[in-house]
Amino acid sequence: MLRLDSVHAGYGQIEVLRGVQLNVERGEIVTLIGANGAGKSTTLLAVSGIVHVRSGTISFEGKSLAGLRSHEVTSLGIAHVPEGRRIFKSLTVLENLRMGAFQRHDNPGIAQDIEKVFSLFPVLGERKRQLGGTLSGGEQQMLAIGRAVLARPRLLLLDEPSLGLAPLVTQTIFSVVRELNAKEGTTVLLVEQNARLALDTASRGYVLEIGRVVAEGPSRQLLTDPRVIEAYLGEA
Amino acid sequence: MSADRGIRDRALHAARLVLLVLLVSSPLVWLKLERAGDETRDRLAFNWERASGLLHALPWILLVLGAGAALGFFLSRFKGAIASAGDRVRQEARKLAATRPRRAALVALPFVLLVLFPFLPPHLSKESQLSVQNYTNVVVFITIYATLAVGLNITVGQAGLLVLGYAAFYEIGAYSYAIIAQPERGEHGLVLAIPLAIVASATLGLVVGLPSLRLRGDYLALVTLGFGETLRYVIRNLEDLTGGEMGLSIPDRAKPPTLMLSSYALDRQLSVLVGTSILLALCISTTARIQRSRVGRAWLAIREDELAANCMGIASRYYKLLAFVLSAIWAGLAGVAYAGQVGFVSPKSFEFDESILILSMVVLGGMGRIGGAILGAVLLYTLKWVLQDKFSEYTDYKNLVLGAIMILLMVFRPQGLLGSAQLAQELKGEEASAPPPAAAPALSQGAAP
Amino acid sequence: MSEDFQAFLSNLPQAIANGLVRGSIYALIALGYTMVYGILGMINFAHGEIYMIGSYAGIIAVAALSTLGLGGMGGPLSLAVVLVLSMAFAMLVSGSIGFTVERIAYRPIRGAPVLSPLISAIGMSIFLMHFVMVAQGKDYKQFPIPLHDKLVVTVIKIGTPSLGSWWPEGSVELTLLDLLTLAAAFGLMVGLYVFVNKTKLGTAMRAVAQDKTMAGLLGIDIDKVISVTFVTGAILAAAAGVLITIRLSQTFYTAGYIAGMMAFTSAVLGGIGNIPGAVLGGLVLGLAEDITSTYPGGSDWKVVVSFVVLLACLMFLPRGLLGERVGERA
Ligand SMILES: Nc1ncnc2c1ncn2[C@@H]1O[C@H](COP(=O)(O)OP(=O)(O)O)[C@@H](O)[C@H]1O
Ligand SMILES: [Mg+2]
Repeated sequence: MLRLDSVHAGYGQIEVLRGVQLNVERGEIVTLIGANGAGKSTTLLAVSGIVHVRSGTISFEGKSLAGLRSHEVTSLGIAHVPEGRRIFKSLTVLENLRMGAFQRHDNPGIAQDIEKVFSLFPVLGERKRQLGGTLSGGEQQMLAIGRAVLARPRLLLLDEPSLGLAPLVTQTIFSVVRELNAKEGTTVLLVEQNARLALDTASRGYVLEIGRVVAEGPSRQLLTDPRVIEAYLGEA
Repeated sequence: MSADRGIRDRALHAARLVLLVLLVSSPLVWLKLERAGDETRDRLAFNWERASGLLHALPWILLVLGAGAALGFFLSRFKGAIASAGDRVRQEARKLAATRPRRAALVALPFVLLVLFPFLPPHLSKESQLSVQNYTNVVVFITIYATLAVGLNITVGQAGLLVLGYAAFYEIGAYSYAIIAQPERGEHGLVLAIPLAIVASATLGLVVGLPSLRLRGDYLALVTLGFGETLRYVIRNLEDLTGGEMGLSIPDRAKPPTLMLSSYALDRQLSVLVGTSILLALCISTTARIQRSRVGRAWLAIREDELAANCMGIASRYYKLLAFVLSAIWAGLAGVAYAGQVGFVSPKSFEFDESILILSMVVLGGMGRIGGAILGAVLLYTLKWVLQDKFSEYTDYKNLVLGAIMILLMVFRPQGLLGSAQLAQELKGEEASAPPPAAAPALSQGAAP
Repeated sequence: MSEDFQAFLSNLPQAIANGLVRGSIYALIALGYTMVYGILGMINFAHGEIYMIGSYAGIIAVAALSTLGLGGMGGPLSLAVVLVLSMAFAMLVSGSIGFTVERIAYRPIRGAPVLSPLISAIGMSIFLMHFVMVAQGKDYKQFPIPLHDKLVVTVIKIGTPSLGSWWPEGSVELTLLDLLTLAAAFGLMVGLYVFVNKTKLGTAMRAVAQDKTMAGLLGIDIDKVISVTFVTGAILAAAAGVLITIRLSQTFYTAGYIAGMMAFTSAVLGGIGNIPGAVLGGLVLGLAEDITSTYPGGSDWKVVVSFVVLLACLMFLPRGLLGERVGERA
């Protein structure tokens, strides 16, 4: 479904991705783990057309994403929940969700999906007229995911959804991600610092290090890989 | 292959934009409002003259377009050869200008020639005096504008503070001289005018600079513009002192002394030329010295990142004020020179246009570059003079051209003609957000699959 | 002196009424500055010229209609048709020029530090002003006097009573044009409010102002939203341009310069980026200007007064009356 072929990309003079090779099949949850600064976020940004790809190709459902701008990538069915949530602080919860459905014009369907998000995250329904900036960190993450769901994506890119959240909130969010994958068939590419949680959720994983994939395989296999255990799972 | 496509895409994009501009401007270009005799309203008419004018100009336009296309083709064909030739020229130039005195001499040489020209004996004959007088006039103005551009470059280029109302400082210098030269105030000359202009413009620099310390770049631009406008209104309204709209003439006794070389009129101009050349030389040498000093480095730091500069212990407020005051003083002195040259001052000579002209000089030459400011002054004053005196039917196009130059420069070459690549980077910026902190890699190098 | 002051007091109610009308026009222009600032964080120096072009387009439209035999002199209906059509034409011309200005001078350097867009904007302002001068000539353009006279008729006159010995009696007169101006200005502002707050595109505009990258990730075409912002601002400015032209019965190619300055001051006064703030700022500045010029000898100083207001506001109230609202860039 999503395929990255020796992708090189970076910022200004600095090259961050040095030939990333990665693919995600329909219906999977795949995780991308790695240390801080390895280039995980940059990989997702390259898919979304925000970071310029210097060489290599990225394709989605067989179509090349080269030269597309971020809103055009979105219109192909990819939703990206970036690092740090980036909720519109002075828009209400409802308006934030509606922005997620910006490219859709089926108003009844949008209303239905908003109700669906409220049933997944009831707390958002209680706060729907509140400004985004007044939400707590966990609520903002829920809103960010809900907003992405409103686009009815076939592929969901999630960047560190657990960052800075209490374990209980993290569990809620991850169970919703699993539910979206199981019930709606949404394919997920999950970037996580918390490698154990990520590998528990995903069926396959990639390990990224200074801009290259250095290990990959089914989650069970990575969980037992001594190098992965030493570097990312620690003694936990 | 893909490069060709890039060129084709760009050409298409440019063509689309040109078409858009032609379309959007058409109501104002092709329809004209005209009033016959004593009618009370304007009638609408198709602008036939413009249409026929365009028809006549069509061969020229096609010629220019064709030449442009040919040049573009040529440049893209021989890109490599041209680049290497450019490199060679640059290398030679660098060798030639290896030391600072040599560099200074290279910059000064054309000016010295320009300035000395009217003094050469053959020109002192009666017949050629009129044309020499015209020539001298142009050179005097070039030196005045070069002083202004170098002065404005201190704030805009070196310290990164966009000052839009620079003509205000120029104006206050000119009025300082004109006011004390009035008969009822004793017809004082330059001896008093120069110190007074320095004090007045420096004070105005402080007055404008102080509130500006707290303002962001765009507000600063607006406030300096507002100060300029306000000063003009004040001068216009204080009629007893300034003569209001009518302006002030400088009586002969208060004018700059003459050199007594030839006829009276030329003589006066030659003495002004000597004065403005000295002024320009002083301005360039002190400004260059300051730019290389600690002060210049502090300005650079402030321009690049004021917050960081403050953290490094640079008292940015002090240095910004200093930039304002120095910049103002040069304009004040240029104002004295202007009043001495023209013998008459009025608010009309210091309108917004004037500030824009000087700013364009700095931007065209390359912000932060003294040589750039001078080059900009020479080019744009020449343009202004050519449009005013040689092709006077096109005078109206002067500001049109200036505006277009500013836009095109910012889009295609923000560093100006002489600016460095580093400045270009600084002015183009990056859309990217701040980088997150990097951490050491965790897996060993040998782990690659 | 005291007689002067008495005269000033008796004229004050009328000055307040005039100031409100003038202020509503400033507000229309100020909205364009504030919207562009909100979304791009830059001062669109060329906005005053967009307004001036609107005033020219208005006169062109009226002249064209009268050439077609629709002079607007045949009764209230034909007058309304002329006004509406000329306003629409002015909006079309200014709107398309606003669109083009952004495409040519701002889009290629979006994201550059403030100095480049600022210089480009100043260049555009000068270019447009002198483009109109070259294209349309250096003389004042006249709005048809009979039409002007038909609109500038007093329709409301209220006497204001004297309050004891210190406040003399006076009166307030409002012309048909005053009422039309107020109605058009406030109608447009309400329309803008609804557009920005209640429609999808308006919400997208606020989203883009806050975080362009995120807006793009959600499928919002940022370039399009920014274009819409410029066009909307230009449309409001064009309306202001037409209203002013009828009031003064003429226009001139430098008309955008002072009006732009006043409107920008209004925007800053209200809190730049803040839409209700621009309206409030415009009204306050309009009042300040008319009250100053009512004072004997005051009209020579009104530009100075406005500038002092701007400076004082930047110094002591840098976020404006209602607070600045510029999208936090991530
Ligand atoms: N906007 C940026 N400009 C310059 N460098 C950046 C930027 N964003 C990230 N980087 C650099 O790119 C590298 C990878 O960053 P990122 O993809 O965010 O890593 P990760 O998400 O794996 O922690 C880091 O070294 C970081 O410093
Ligand atoms: Mg990251």
